[in-house]
Amino acid sequence: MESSSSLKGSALGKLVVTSGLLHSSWSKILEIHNPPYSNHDPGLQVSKKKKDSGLEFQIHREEKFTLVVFSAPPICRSSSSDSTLLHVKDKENPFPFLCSENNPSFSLHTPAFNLFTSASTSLTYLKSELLQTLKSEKPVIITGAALGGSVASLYTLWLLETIEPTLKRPLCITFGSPLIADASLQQILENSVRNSCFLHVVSAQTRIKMDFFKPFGTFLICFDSGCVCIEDHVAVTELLNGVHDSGLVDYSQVLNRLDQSMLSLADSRLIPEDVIKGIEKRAEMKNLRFDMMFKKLNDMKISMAYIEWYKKTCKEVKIGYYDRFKTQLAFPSKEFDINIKNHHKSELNRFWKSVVEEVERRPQSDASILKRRFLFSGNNYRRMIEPLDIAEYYLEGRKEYRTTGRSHHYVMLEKWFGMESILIEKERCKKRDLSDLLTFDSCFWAEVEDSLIVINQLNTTVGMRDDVREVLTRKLVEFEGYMWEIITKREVSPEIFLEESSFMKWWKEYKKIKGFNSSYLTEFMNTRKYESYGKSQ
Amino acid sequence: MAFEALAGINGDLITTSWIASKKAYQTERYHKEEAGTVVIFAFRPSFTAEDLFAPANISSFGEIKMNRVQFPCMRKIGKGDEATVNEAFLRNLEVIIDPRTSFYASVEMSVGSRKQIVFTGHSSGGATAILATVWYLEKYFIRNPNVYPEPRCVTFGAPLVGDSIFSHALGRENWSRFFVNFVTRFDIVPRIMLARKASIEQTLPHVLGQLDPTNPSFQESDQRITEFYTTVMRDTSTVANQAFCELTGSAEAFLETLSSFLELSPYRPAGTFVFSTEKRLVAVNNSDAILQMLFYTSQASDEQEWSLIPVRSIRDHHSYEELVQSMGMKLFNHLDLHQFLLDGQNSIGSWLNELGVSTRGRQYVLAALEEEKKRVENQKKIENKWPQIVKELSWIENEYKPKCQAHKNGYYDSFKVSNEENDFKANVKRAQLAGIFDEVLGLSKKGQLPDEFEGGRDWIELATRYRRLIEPLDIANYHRHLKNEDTGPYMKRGRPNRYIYAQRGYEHIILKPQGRIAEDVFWNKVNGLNLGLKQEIQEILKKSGSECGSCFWAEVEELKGKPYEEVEVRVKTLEGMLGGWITAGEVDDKEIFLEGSTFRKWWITLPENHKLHSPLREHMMDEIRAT
Repeated sequence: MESSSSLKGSALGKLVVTSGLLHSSWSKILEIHNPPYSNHDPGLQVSKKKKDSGLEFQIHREEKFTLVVFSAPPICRSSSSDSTLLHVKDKENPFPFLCSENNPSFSLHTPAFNLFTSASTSLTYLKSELLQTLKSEKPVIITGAALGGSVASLYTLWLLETIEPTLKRPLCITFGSPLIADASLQQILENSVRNSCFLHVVSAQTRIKMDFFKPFGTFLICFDSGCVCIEDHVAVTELLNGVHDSGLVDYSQVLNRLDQSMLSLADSRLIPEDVIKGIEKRAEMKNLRFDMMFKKLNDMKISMAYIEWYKKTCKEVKIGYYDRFKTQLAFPSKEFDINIKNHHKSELNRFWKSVVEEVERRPQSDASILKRRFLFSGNNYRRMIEPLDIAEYYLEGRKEYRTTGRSHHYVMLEKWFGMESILIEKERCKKRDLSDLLTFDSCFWAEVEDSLIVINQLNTTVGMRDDVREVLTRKLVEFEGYMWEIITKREVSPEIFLEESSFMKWWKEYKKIKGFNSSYLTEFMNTRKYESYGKSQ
Repeated sequence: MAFEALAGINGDLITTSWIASKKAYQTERYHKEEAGTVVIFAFRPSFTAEDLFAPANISSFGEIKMNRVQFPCMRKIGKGDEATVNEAFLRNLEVIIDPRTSFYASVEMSVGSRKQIVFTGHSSGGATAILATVWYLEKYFIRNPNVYPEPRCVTFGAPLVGDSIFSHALGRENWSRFFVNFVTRFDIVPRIMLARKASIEQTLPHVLGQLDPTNPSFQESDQRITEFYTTVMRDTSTVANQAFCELTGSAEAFLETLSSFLELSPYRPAGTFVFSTEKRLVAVNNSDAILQMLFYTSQASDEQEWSLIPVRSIRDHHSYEELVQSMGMKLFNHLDLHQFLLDGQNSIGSWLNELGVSTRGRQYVLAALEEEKKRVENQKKIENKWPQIVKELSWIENEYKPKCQAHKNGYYDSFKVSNEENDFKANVKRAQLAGIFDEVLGLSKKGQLPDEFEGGRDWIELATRYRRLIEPLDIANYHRHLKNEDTGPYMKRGRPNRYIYAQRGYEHIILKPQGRIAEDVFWNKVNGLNLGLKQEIQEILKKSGSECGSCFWAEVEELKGKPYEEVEVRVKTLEGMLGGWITAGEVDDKEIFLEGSTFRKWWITLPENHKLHSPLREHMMDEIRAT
């Protein structure tokens, strides 16, 4: 039996052909290139915006959709493979929203980009008009042939910035257009829903040089006896890459041949078997990766339940879960403890690292949807598990975790939560019982450990220079200020005041250094006010 | 020929149905015929455009949603959306089933004498027969399936009537087997509804004139017929290709973008379709496969044949007489999953070949069966998890709950504070069960389970047990983490879909024999409490925990922080519902009245005057006396 992805490719191809969208687009492209005399097309609203640069566009308001046609002059040979590098921080970059954490910059096809920027004023006007159209539920097609199609692609990318997920997505249809994106942009779009807005019609005879510019979107590859629709860009490259063939293709003929092929019974196989196999393998990998992420979220909840319970049992023996974990690491005994470290913690870390990776691959606006979905569980995870990573870190005799030891994924999770929580965080109830609270600053224990190291240095170093001593003492004062702030903000778990905790160890040492110098914190500690900290009032 | 394979329909019955269908041409609406213990109702077809597309209907395919009150089964249970049908056909049915008609009286009489009814018809008469059968199923059969005989529906060249939900609902209720639709190979009528109304409007009246068997002026060759045929087949191809891409789920995002530019017919085949070749009859019950066959069986095998097909597409609508007459001499085969698994694609491939289906077309039909196989496998995977579900639920029921009760506050309150090791264990089990039920939910939403699964009594009962037992834990968890403060009330923002779907499944099997829908039952009950103006009360109770017994605790949590005067109606509604919930097993009365229960503690704080008239007074007093 023929493989299902080859069937899908041809079913999708047939669907595109019978949809009639190609003909609608192509006929308007012919019109802009060979304008009929005395044109009184009532649907034609903005006609001919001739620019010095030679870029033209027209808007056609049809019954079912609105069509925007771009037309550009023939491409100049010498500049056909020039590229323009755009960075997320460039002021001139019209596409900063496309950049991702992994790809902060990308390059575009220079001739298309220049045409696009040369018409930026009228294109801005067009954008607001099209957004209105999309809001009124009417779909928009943006099209063009050759370089006109490349500009249409750029324009569609630009338009997509402002399109919310609830609106209808526009469709960009190009005919035999030069590729515009480098490998970075291809990678960004590969993981984006935006990729679904591009349909590139190419004749199978065309050979495109793909050494620098790469394909994105969906390709309709037209053979004499039929066509296939392929999204997999590796396969597209395999099928079309070659020495650039400038032979002009008449797409009127290509489209007519396609119509004919719809009626014929010839079922020739259009794509080689090994290309199909590749498509299938990659599709499977991609699905797996994505499904796993959502399926595993539930397993992760189970692991979190274990660690939550671990935390609870630690509290009962008057030692916080941070210190218990640290001691257990040094002297492993119970199976439960070992399981927490080897199974639940490491599974959680692996999972969240992969989520962060997935998000970083996506363009910013897509990523934010994903971030929101994982926001609360990700934040919970960070506050619960990072202290355990810190325990491991300091047990190995290292220091300054926050600046030198912290895993990248924690930094990102914290950053996202910080950005999103501005929108969500409500006024916290003053009276709320804090016994289940996870300390807001997940690096809290690193601060305690570093401070303990400082105290240790002060106590043990013989003949310390005064300026060194001063620096270290200032560090202690800073830490005290930090402590007092998170206590008054009620952002720290009451667990830190348990008898056996590292923080209490710190306090005993600090008290000696501090002597009789009184402060908010020393009073709070000395008068045992901390015993009622976090109890519901 | 082995017609027994067609669930209770034999050759004689088909012949009788066909003869009755022909007699119906001359009637005003229908023809009735008795044959032994069977009563046959055959409906007259219509060949005017208004009877195919309701003139006042502005949608692209003349479709309309089915009325939920009249057809409570014709929807998706979980998601709740109703089936869509052709409005013109539905209006025609409504005229026929009016209680003042002779038809209605005849059906009542047949039902009274427990006679089996066969609904039949040629062309759009078949569409009426399909809807009449659904009407009979909903109005009579479902009320008492053991007493009322199963109906049968036999159609000849009928247009498609309903959408995929229509077909899904018939499958779910195990009613698909009652519907048998005969299709001659090129007959255009079963394909007409796949075309856009706008694209065929011009040529339709003429073609209908040609299709009318009582019209003597049949022309052989005709440009308008060719145009009509080409248009219908082009749209059929669009629908078939789009459906195939969706079914096999590739390039989802691009397909979605592309589809938003297309006008796609919602209609899909429902029931069994019987296609006929020279040598055999081929019965197919997989709706996706039938859709592909509707396109691929009507393609020409060479250029020469191509020019003849438009005429054949009309003539084949008149060739059911031959089909019925030659039936006895033909082989009969099932093109179904069973056969597919039995010998792969061999025999199926050769039958499709006889039907003129091209190599490529065969692959599409087989791929549709392959998808059905996946759905069956998905169901098996879920069934393999039943023992685990049962095990976890039993632990909660037989270990966790009794231990908590011994501490005089039920498992809800124990879980909410989560101080014991058992609470932790329960939390792990809660998360494990959520994983399983969410997986089922995901499959069901994507249509990756067999139709029957959603309506299966065993599954619904298990899901109900799960909902009643575990949803209180989810509610406790929600309030333990104070999500009601930062996210919103559980009922509005926190209730997982797995419980909503489970609740709807339960309501469906409880209420379907009464022909009622859950919303009506709920509001009737509320109105019975006489708490004030209907509209105001409905506004107050919108999305409150009183909608469902397993949400009892969510309502308690919402009410307990608020002054009595503000929530009087909600308190009284909750109290009014409680008795029914306890009887039905939705709420465990051994739990909620315990001394340490949040509910009891809150109830005690209510104003004396309220408590004096409360239906719970006895309960609360009893408990006090007992302790």
